[in-house]
Amino acid sequence: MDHLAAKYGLSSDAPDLVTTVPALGKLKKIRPSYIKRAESAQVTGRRFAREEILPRVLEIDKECTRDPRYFDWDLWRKANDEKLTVALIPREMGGLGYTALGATVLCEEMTSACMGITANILFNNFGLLGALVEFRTGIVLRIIRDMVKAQRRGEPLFWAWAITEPSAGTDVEDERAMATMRPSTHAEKVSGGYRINGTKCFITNGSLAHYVIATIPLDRSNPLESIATFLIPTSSEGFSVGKVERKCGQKASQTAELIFEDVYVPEENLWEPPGRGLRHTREILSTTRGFIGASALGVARGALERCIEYASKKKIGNHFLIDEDWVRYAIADMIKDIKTVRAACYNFAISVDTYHVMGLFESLPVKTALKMIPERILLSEFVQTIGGLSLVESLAGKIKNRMVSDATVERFVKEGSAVKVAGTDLAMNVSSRVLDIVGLEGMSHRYGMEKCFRDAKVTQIYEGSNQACRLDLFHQEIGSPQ
Amino acid sequence: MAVHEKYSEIIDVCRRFAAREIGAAALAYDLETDSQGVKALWTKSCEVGIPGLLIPEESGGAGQSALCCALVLNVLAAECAGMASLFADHFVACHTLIRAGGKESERCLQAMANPAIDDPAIAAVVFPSEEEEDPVRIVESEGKLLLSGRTALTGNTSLAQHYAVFVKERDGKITCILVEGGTPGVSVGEGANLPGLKVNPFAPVTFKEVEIGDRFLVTERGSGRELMESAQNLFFGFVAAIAMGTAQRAYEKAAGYARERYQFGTTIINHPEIQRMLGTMRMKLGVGRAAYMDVFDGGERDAGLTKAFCTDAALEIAVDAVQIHGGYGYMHEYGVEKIMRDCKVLQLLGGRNGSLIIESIARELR
Ligand SMILES: Cc1cc2nc3c(=O)[nH]c(=O)nc-3n(C[C@H](O)[C@H](O)[C@H](O)COP(=O)(O)OP(=O)(O)OC[C@H]3O[C@@H](n4cnc5c(N)ncnc54)[C@H](O)[C@@H]3O)c2cc1C
Repeated sequence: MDHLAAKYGLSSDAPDLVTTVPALGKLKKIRPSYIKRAESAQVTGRRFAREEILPRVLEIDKECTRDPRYFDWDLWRKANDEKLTVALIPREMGGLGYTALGATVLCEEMTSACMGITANILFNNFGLLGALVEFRTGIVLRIIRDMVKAQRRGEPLFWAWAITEPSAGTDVEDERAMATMRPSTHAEKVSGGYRINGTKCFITNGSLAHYVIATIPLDRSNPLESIATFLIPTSSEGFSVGKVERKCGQKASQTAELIFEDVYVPEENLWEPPGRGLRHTREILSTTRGFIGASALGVARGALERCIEYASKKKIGNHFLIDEDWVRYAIADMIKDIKTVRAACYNFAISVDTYHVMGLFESLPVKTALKMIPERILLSEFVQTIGGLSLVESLAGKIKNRMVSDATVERFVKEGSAVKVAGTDLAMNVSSRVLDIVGLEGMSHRYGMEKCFRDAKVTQIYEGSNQACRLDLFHQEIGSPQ
Repeated sequence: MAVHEKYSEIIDVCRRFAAREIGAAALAYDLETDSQGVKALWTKSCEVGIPGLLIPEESGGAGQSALCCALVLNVLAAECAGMASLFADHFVACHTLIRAGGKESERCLQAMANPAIDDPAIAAVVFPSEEEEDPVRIVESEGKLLLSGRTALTGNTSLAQHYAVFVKERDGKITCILVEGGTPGVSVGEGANLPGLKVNPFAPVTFKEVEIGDRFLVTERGSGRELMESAQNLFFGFVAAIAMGTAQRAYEKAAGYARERYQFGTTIINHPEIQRMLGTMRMKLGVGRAAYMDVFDGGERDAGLTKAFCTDAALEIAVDAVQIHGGYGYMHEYGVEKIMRDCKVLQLLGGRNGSLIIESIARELR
């Protein structure tokens, strides 16, 4: 039997978005440009994964085992040249203009090769997501401008999102939990701004970041009502990076401890006032949990595709490993799970494009502005100043808040949690099961499958542990106990 | 476990040894293996008699039972499953030589029971594999017996001085041969770089026309199947004991951490979901422990199935232990993610669990 006929995913460069989720074919008839953009994201992601990530992934993993601060700038630059670092920014402003669906597909393709490397390249878009929360036009335009300019210069501009503290992980993401949280950070009002002290931990890209978006309480004894969101440039005096963690997997992505010693932050860097910090966190989570689900789906796919390749070539006596009955059942079962979760991930992404913040880019005023105004002016200081006018900001804020109400956020936290748990449990199950199939030799580093297993585990922990996600799911769907 | 009180003294001594010597080195060796360091640890373990545990008293060993060895492996594994796996491979090789008898076997056993300080005699065991392009075979050339071919990934390789090699002959019969590590033609291939059990130098071993000679035949040609099966079963039992030992430690770490970690207004052990996870671990540990001891107690229990059950359970326990530790669990210094990686490799030792389960039934139909 010719198993190679079934070449797909990482072992093929043919795009298959509409074939794998046929319902998208129907959508393509109605909204051709929407699906075509996602298809182009898939082509770009798959090519980058196959041509750039796959050849280096194992060496990078080894280097990072030796030195957790190792970073492959060469690979990052290649991604930057392809604008992957500004994938979510509208095309008219110099980005790739990927929708949530496009970004989901891009994540999945890239994480199928390596989730740690993907984090270095794509998770930077957190910066934009963070800014979009309040949709203060001045800030959004400035961030877009800074990101695009840096991209063009070929220079990194990294954002980190710092909510976790040594004493609080789940507690910084949930209202009921935050009420009893014991903070490790503290902000104090001083003339013209705030003074920040304390430690954040496990912060992705924290050691590389130029800006940190951090939630910090003003009153340690009442975090829920005093937590605020700050934008903190890492060039601030008193800011330093502590240890860069030695991890089980996702080693290419640096995870760092951030230390604040009397860091002064001016008033204008207060993104969310005291008491609104958690709302900011929840809004970010309401989209990112879905993306983590999709990224984990990519890890599962990458593991399975490598397994199929290995099992088709591995001879056992007079047959191939893939010819064993139990192996076929197991692979079929995993394909079934991957198909199911993928449909859920795309469904989530399409909802984000339709009902959540990404819909803003499709809203009439934004769309018209992007169409009419040349890029040079969109990225100019002038437009940024206009965007910063309080009249404009409050108007934009109104439009945005109508689109993304508190109820929208909580609904998407729920939907995102479901996708997140499904995708990350899938990643863990598939990457583990794949090793059970390929055996001891197949588990060697050089086949890349054991790395998928190591990478997968953390997806069940971060962006809200899967327990926290299940609690959210229950409370948003069924209601809170009194 | 009242029946096993007679071993409690040995086990206590080994537990203290493991905590003192292995526990301190485990995380460092996980990052970078140091074969000199491992050999030094091995030599130290002679002070408490671990390498000679199974070897009969008349050959200079402690003459203990396989069950005793399993219980010792279990406590060693609590500190490092990789270190325990070195001893497991060694014990299985010892078992093979003890059961086979003969002059050469006796010489090796004596050397292993009283090892040289700077270069301890460590043994490895090689089972036939269906998966190699060039499987190990005995060939006769000009009246000489030669061993040729490449083994599947094997434990203890570069540390081993003695290999007990089970060879599947062309007619399907099994022969066991003793091969000395330094013999011309014996070479250890590139290390596999597995995700766990890092101290154990898993690698393929290549035999290139290695002269064996009659005196190194551990079994008569073609008569080694029963011996091989007993060695395999012993190995399965040992792997199960190791899995339960390391999983037990994962459980203890998770329970300890859950008692300290404050989240959601209380220490997390008070959350019923955490209790469910810990309770499930305890349930699996209890059953797994009873099962592997049963293998050695002359029970009817299938050793392969027991290994499959215990290693699968161990991985599940370790994965949940990491989860309970949250982000900290993913960091090397906490030592839980190492247990998870170790358990993943334990699942595949001696064969795929999926195949072992099917084989347990298929065998009866042949
Ligand atoms: C590689 C990596 C990258 C990360 N990147 C970032 C980042 O960029 N920014 C950032 O802010 N954070 C980041 N984190 C932190 C991550 O978000 C936290 O680890 C996560 O939220 C869990 O928090 P914790 O580790 O404090 O675990 P805890 O909150 O202490 O939880 C411990 C365990 O208890 C469980 N638990 C808690 N409460 C309950 C309950 N009520 N019921 C049942 N079980 C419960 C949890 O599920 C978990 O299993 C990262 C972590 C890792 C490992």
